[in-house]
Amino acid sequence: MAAAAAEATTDGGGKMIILISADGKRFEVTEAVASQSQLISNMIEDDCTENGVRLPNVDGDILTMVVDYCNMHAGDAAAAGDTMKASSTEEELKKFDAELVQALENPVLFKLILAANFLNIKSLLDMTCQRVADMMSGKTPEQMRETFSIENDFTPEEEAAIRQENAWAFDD
Amino acid sequence: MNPPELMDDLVDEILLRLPPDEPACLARASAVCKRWRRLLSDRAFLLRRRRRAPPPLLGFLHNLDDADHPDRFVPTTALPIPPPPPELHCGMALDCRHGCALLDAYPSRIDLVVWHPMTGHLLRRLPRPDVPYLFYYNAAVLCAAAAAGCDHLDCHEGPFRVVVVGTEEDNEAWATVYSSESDEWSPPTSARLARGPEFCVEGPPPSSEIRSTSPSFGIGVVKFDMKRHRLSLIDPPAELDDGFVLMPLDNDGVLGLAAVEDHSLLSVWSMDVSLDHGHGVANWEKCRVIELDSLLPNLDHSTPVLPIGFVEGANIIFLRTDAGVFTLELRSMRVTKVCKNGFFYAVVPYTSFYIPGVHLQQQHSGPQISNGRAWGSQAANMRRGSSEQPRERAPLHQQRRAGRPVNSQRPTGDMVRSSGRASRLASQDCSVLTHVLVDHYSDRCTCRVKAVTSTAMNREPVSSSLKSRSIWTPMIQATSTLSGTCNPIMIWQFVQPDESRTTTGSVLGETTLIVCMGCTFLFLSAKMMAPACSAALPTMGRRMMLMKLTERPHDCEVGSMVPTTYSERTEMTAVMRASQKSALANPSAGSSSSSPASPPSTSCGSNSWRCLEEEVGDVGRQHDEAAGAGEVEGRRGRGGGDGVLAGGDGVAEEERGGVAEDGEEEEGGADVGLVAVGWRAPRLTTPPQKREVPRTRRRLERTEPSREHLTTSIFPLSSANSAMISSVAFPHVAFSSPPTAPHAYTIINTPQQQVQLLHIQCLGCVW
Repeated sequence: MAAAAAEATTDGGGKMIILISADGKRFEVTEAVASQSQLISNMIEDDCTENGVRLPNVDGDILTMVVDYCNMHAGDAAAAGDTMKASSTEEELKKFDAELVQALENPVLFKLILAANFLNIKSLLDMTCQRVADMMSGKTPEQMRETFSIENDFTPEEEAAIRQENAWAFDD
Repeated sequence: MNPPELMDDLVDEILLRLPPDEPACLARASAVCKRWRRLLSDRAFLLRRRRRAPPPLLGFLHNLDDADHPDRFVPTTALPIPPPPPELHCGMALDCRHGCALLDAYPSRIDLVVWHPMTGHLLRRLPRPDVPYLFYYNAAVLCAAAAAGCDHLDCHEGPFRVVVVGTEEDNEAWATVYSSESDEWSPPTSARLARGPEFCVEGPPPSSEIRSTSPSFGIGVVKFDMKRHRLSLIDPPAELDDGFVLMPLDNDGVLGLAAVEDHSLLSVWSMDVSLDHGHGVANWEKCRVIELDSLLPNLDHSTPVLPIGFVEGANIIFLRTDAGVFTLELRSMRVTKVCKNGFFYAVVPYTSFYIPGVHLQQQHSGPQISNGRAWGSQAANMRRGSSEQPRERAPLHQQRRAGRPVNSQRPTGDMVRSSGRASRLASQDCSVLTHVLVDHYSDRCTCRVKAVTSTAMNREPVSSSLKSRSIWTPMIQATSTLSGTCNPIMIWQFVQPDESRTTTGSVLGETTLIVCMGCTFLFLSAKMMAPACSAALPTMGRRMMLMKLTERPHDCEVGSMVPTTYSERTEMTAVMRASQKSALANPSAGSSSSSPASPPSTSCGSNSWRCLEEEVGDVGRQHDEAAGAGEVEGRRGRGGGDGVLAGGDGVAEEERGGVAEDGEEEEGGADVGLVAVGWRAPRLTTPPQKREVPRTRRRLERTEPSREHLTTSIFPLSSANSAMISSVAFPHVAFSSPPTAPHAYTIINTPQQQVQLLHIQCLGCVW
């Protein structure tokens, strides 16, 4: 079945590629969509996508998001010729991107970052990292630790020293 | 549900994107955990961050005494900045650069103060320059290293220069430069100008070479060449009859200026430098005109629009209008209103600055460590006990390298590569030796030592007589193997402070650094250490003692060999071949390259403790055997040849000096390696309880670097040195007492590298 799907073609997209998530979900995407991932793009070049691409690091629900994102952004290149259309899709894309990351809670967002990193999708990585960075604005170190679930490994003295030396940065 | 842990690279990406105009955010991020602090202090990170965006404008200083603006500093972001010290409240802001503000304490003249707005520290009050009474003057503060290509990542609070340019009543112009290191002004330069420009306090210098003082009313610009100390007058474009601001164009030193013509046209001019030879005839070319009416809202032109300041790097012009003060970004043409009203004549923009954790490297000068010769003679001296005079004789391995000047000073500033060279010490206390060392010391290295000192004090000096005037300092050294793996090595050293300066902080000023006599211990990966030892000490490195932190030492055999890029390539290679050869010939004999007379390893099982001592004691004899064994030489190839040569030298020296010492002979063989340690344990009387043999292979397993910057950095510990962090925009991020670098380094910690961490300790040390 995989082989058959891999050979199947659609009107615009060329070859279809099957992505298989860690929990076994299968996603069928066109080559144009999939090759936004540098990882998969390289695999396509090397011709090793015939039996589907296993992505052991990416869960099904995360991969759904990634595929959605890639589907939206795959239009980019195609629409580049038509300026009117490009500008309208650009707005749509921005809106889509904003909604995608705005809605996400922390653990999912982090998983998305990991997936984007694994799949090497630069624009998605940019966007998600920017989102996390924006979230940190105005946060105290405690809140940042909570966000990242990081343990404080400073001794109280060390932390006090940092705070004192940068007192201007700490309101409290 | 906890979010998954992100790799360093991804955390980097996130931290990189923290809001650039909110430096406090980075400061707070640096207080999250040690790992973040380390990431934030990474120089590569800071450079990347700067490349993404120039330092943001945080506010500006002005000189208007106005009820609306009681503070000298007007922030443009939500930056809480402490007010200047009370004595500066009516000071004139003259310049601001690299985080430092230069104020003139009113009402006295040229009473300059360097102030750090972010921290509120008063950095320095400058002495008065020795110049005549200047009617008009201006001054600028510059990074001292600007001419040397400083990237201004961390030059704040470092050495700085202050330039004062002014004119007397009779058109005589004067200039003088203050250096923060010497706390003195240079001899003033003077020149008679064709006309006397009316100076106004305004205008940052366009580049480090040119210090210009710009008159606010279009009369002229005085140029001061900081290299040649020459003053000249530059005429602004004749068309301009109103104020202008000076600006550097394209960062290539071309002087530009911006002025407003016809009330609403902002014109940017560039000067043709080729025509300016101090004759005051400058060729100006208008390179850009910007229509302000469309950019600035609601101008009624009741007062002319005036450019009042320029932000270098960010390319932002301050414009004073009747509707308030605006900033105009010349690249993006973005206009921001920064101040409601304020009839400023000139403002001094204050931009953020980035502080990397490496302020170690720029602000300290000079190698603090004696050269190789001194090392050797100190070593020899210590070996013989302090009662004997040092013998002026270079160590053998240096004699053999006749083509190279052994006394040459260690190069400074070259931290990128440090080559290891063994020199040996044996102390009577500990009856052993260690040595280690490193060829290229530089400022950064010594500073790094200093940085860790305060946390490294918890080890007891071996001898109480040394205690009072010594500190134990870890040296951090990294080596790199041919496979590209970095191995951090931590070496604890005995530092003898200069007697005249007893504080810890200044210990490295003019100190003599002596290799620790009995208490050197090394952390490094087994795969590196074992071969290095066997390579470096053909005569005694055949047993390694591995030790966990809490256990008695165990010994094991070393059967591997690795070439290191930092030692003499040919010699290493030769030894390696020999080692492989003999290892192949007799795999069970461990690193039998070191000694042709190696007993079978099995014989050293539980008795290895004693056995080791015997071997150490027998080194000299083995050497002699090596020297005498012709067929052995043939079998061992060039590496063996070296050993023989060393042995031969040792014998020769014995004859000359009449002193037969194991240590000296060992020196001959130590040339090859990077680090070598040998020891025996007179103070430990109980044998090890169990035997632990590390899994060493004949060849170093190739471990791929997990992060590029860890492998490019030759001092991976710099990243472990979370102490020195700081991040973007804060002055004092470094700990006064830095946290201890964890035992497990980042490199070793990575799961990809299953490197066994050994703790090798000279047993002479009392825990």
